[in-house]
Amino acid sequence: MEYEHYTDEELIEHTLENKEVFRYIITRYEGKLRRYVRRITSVPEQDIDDILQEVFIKAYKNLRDFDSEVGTFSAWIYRIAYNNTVSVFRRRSARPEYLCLDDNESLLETLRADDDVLQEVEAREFAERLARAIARLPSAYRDVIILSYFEEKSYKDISDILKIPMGTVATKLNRAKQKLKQLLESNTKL
Amino acid sequence: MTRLEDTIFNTIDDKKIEPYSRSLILLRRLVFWTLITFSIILGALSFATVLYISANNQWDTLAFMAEHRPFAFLHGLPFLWLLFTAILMYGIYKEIRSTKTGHHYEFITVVIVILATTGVLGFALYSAGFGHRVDQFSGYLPGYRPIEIKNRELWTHPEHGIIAGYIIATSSNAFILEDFKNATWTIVYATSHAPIIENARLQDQVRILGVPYEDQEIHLCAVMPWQAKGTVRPIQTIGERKVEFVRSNECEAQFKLRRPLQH
Repeated sequence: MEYEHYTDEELIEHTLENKEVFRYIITRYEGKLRRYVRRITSVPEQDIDDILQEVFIKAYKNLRDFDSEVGTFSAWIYRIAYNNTVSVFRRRSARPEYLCLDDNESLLETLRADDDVLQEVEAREFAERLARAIARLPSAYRDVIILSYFEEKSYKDISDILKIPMGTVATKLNRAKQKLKQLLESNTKL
Repeated sequence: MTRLEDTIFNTIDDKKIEPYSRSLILLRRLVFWTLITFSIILGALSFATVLYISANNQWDTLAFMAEHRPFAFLHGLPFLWLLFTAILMYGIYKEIRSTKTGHHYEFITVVIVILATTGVLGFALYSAGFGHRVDQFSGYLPGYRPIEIKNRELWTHPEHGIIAGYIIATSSNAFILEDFKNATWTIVYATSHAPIIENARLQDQVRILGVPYEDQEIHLCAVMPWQAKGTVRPIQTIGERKVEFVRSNECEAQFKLRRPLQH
């Protein structure tokens, strides 16, 4: 049976009848969650594997607790990933010092459109500075920036992942952008 | 098939992991919501006790007793219950926030709902006498003294003319009061208090401020009902609530009234 084109909700339904279908969920989210976890922490790659393993097993165990009327599966599994990662870096104080930008040209485009801060700076150099600036943001601001620009999540999904009201998401995002702008415009070495 | 996918499926197979059953999920939700309900009831009971203690704190007359009881203003402040109510409200807030949709609501909305629920339910429980019950029951805890006991102690200082108890006999210018330690006192009153005392019934509970004399005699300066709001059973007492002082120099001197009484 071809499951690639099934929605998340359909995959969950089928997983509950045949656990092998859960492989498709892993395949669909492994890359996304790996990048996300890498962005919000600085633990070694091996530890990221451990985190992801815990995330998928926790998701598997709690599949029946997922309620599609409350939010998307994507937000639900990102929430599990966020909680697990936070608990790991709280244990080890592994806060990111540098943010891995990977293939996020789209982020640069978004910020360019939003703030017009890229006009006179080389994109690559700016990306490096931007990564350092984001890493220096308070975690509450960094979390919304990463979810909004790197993971391209909607306000509703960010609200469900971080468990904060949507109004707060908007406020934090706005303040985070202002703070980022200040950091990038200041003479502080980033 | 990725390495991670393999590892996950090996773990699932080795540990025979299955998705939690629907009944277990429902049971978990039931326990969670029971906990929230229990916290709300406990918070309301605690608030009912705050109301009960505040309503019976004797603040109407504490000012007159300040000379003899310097820390009297601390009497009847329900610090413990206010703290307990606040802790429970914080707990309820965190519980609501951790529900699936709890984070959809703004902080202020959740706080107002919790305050309103605890307030309304707390007032209903107070009116039904539950504040009294909780305060009395807490008397079994070591170091805790119910407001009723504290009030009785506060009003058992005949050496300062501060006494409370039951009216057990009346005559034209005096009545006999039995205090909470079963001692009897002759309370002599002036004509200005006659209308109040004449309306008093036997076994009425009253509070007295007066000037002590020898032979268990006290000259009455003010008489007030024994406060008993929000109690399980209503307490029999006189109807006057106003503190009406006798206009005499000895009363003024005894209670160091800030302003001389107008003659």
